Amino acid sequence: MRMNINVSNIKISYEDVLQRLGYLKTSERPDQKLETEIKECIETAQKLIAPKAVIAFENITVSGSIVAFENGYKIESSQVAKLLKDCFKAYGVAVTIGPALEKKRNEFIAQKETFKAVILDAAGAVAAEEAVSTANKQITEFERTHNNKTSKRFSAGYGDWLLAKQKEFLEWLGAANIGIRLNNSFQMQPEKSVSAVIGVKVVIASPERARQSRT
Amino acid sequence: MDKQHFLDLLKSRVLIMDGATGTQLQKKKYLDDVEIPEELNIKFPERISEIYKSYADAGSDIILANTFGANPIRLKQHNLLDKADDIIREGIALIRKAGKAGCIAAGDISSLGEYVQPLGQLSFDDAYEAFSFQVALLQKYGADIIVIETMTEIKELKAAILAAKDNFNGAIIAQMTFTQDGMTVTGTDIKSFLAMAESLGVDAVGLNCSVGAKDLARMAKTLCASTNLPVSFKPNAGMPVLINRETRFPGTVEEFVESSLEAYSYGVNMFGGCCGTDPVFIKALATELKNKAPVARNIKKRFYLSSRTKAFDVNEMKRPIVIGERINPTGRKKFQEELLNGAFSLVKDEARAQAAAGANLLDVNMGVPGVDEVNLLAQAVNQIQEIVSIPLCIDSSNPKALEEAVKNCAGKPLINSVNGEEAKLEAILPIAKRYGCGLIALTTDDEGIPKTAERRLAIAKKIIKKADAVGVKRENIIFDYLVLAVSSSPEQTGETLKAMRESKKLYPECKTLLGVSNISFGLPSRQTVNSTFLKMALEAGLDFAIINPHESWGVFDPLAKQLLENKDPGAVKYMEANASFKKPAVKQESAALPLARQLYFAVLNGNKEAVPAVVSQIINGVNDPRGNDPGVEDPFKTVSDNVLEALNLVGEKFAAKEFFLPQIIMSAEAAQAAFAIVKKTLKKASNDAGKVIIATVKGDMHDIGKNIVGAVLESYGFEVIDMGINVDARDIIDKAQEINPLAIGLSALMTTTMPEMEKAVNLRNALGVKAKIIVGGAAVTKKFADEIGADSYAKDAMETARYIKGLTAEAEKLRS
Repeated sequence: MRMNINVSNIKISYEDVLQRLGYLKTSERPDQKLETEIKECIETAQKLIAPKAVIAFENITVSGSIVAFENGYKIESSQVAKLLKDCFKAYGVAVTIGPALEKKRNEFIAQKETFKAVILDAAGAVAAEEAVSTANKQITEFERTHNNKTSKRFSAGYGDWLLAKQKEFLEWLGAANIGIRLNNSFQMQPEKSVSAVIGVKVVIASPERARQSRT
Repeated sequence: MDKQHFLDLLKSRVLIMDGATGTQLQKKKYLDDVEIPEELNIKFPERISEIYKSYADAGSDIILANTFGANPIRLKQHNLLDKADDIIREGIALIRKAGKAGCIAAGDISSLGEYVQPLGQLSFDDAYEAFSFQVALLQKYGADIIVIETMTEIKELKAAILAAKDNFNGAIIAQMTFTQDGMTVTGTDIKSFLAMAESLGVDAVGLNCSVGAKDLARMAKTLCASTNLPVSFKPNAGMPVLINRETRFPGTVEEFVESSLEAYSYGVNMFGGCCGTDPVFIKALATELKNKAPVARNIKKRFYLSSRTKAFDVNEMKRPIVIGERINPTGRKKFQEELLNGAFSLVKDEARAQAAAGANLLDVNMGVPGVDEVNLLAQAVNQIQEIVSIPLCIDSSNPKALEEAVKNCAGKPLINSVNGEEAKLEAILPIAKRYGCGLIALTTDDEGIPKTAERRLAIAKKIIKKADAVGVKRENIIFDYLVLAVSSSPEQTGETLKAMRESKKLYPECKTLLGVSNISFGLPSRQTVNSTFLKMALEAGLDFAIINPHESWGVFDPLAKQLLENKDPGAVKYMEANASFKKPAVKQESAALPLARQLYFAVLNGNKEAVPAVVSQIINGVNDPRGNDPGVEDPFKTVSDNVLEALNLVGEKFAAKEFFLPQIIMSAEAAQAAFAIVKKTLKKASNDAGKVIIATVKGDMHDIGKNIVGAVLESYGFEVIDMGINVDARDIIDKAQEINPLAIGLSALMTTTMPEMEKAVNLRNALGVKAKIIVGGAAVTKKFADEIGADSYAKDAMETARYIKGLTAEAEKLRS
């Protein structure tokens, strides 16, 4: 099976946007007028996104709070180390939906069209999340065909993996190739971008199996 | 090579285009020492020559110049605008040097990197100017043809095609790039692309890049089955995957050639490759296809109308093709008032409702006395196209307004209308020609409405003659043989139907149209007459009907038929049967409420478009519909009380999780609209409630939460000074010293930027600034707020407003 990472066709779900906007799973729903206006904004958002993904992978060894990648890259974080404890390989993934949606959102803000700005922002966040979930699923599916399973994903800026360390992580990934840059505060631009590390471990952790699975 | 020579060549054999340039340059690491690939033309021309030559050797008949992004917008971004001339000249000249004799040098054009309004910020005119600049240089330096490629947005494509048509003598090929579901990323499908490109007069259409050869061959089938224009096919080698800093294309040469052969069987005329393909791909392609005769396509004539995302072939549609007539302010006071205020809520409501009721097109008329129709009609087109996907019929008697609107319209619209008047023909036919629109032609002239079918047909003949001369295709003309009220002109109905029947014989390429509802003017039970007349008109060959799609069109009444056949003199029989008919009154609940309550509900329901009219009426002391509204005695208090009462209920509903963020924002926007009018009327420099500074702290770029807070505070009448994002604590406190606000609201989304809040609090304390500091944001907690000495923490915008309202109350208490 060939590795196929393709996030270009993701769809922004109305339900996910509602959830993002605070609508709970209760009987409370937007009325017809509001639903129409939210859906129209989502349609606009769908036209403005251009999702792209970049991935990298290396075999790893975990020692203490250090995750050492075979190419020399390291992550220093006890929480990442804990997550990748039984893993022999790790993927880095970064996705972005591109700059157009944020430009439009900012235009709405400048025009005091706060409603549209808020919906567009929520739709963009949903799109970025959907893109990284899709890439994650594709990685998991690829690894499953090699009898491996993947860990949960973990992003810089959470726990003790410092946001400032995102710079090296994105450099390793080559995230600039899909237009992701960091600002001085280490926030990704476009803002609706997500990066994460995902570990890979064998399903049955016998040394022989692990050796076979190191593809 | 002139255009005709190129088109003749395409008739005789398929042509091989080149493969990827960009990915070849990347692979060879030729881009490492230039800003953009086009700079190579002048900095390292040998690298470009090498690529050109490799494709010429592989068998390419057409080589695309390395001018893909050599447009002024992109060149300026990279400080290369002053080199544009050299870059484009060399881009073409290097093909001449590297290619073999007869090699066709194509000027390559692609996206400007910004979407055109309304999706993006770039105006249509700016996009057009940018493309014109590039095309003019390609013409100057002798490109044989123009290939517009990898386009994803249809209005940008429209600007590029128009620029190419205006500035280039050779053939123009327009290509778009599609996703797996057969649409561009901005939602345009193959037929909508074709409808617009064909109507604008390109010489060939095509598909490039996209999702690999296999899927693109499927799309080529649809394209080839829909047009007789030459078709180009230039797929990438599959969707690229960026793995370990390397771009990998999954497609193989075998798959590529197999899919190209499939596309050949559908009638594709030009074959090449896009990203990820190289001379090996092209050589394999040329081995199979070079010099083959094209597979003939004989597609029956189609007449498309289209929007950004939807196209239909008029010839395939069930009759009548319904044009919704409701977006028209004539005789509708509220509609006119809204347009005078620059609002489009009723326009959008009518658009949604008519589309839902089954209209195939929407007529858009903005003819309100005293408005800037040129601007308003174009705006309406943009607004409507954001929310509905059906094509539009642009309706105006002002040629300038028509031109601006059809230019801004995504897709192929109808123009409503021209007539036989010389001045109209001279003004409007060139617009229809330039923008490739369908054109409604009324069979009237300077002498008014002709009484006979023969005279109307004579005007039709005149219009056709003029249209032929200008180059408007006959299939784009839709004749309106005019409907007059049967009550006042009973003999005229027969003339109209007769003219339509004759028109179908004389001008079979042209379609027919009627504004059906005019027929029943002055009669009771109008819909009975309208519907009966529609059926009679359909039998006479009616294609398009401008009607209200909400009405029932299934009625056929024998008495109405007699009347329409002029067999009921004085409409005696019809009137006897229908005189007592009364149309059920439309309920207008909100209008029956006192004005103050109308305002309250407008804010509560977030209906900001309704607010200006109601507030203006309150302020101007307009008689209340109920006549006894005590609020009008103190209009400003009435506005304020009702807005705040509504907002308070919104806040309660939010706290009870009955309302959510969108409703808060909509109510806030409605309240803002009310206070804006009060402020303007009172001509006050600042708002009553007091000033509040808001800012996202230094290092943090997150904007949206702060803006929500700002909108809600403004809705309560506070004057909000929004200092933006990434704001230094010192600047915030300096500003507070200067303007003495009630409060400072600070936002931070990340733990790394939260310490800036503490800096602001300390600085405020050190400088003795009195303003309270309230903090919030995803990572901020009440505990943190307490620890840093902030005066309050708010978990959302409503809590912020509640806290600051409390400060106002305290301040008032102190004053009193």
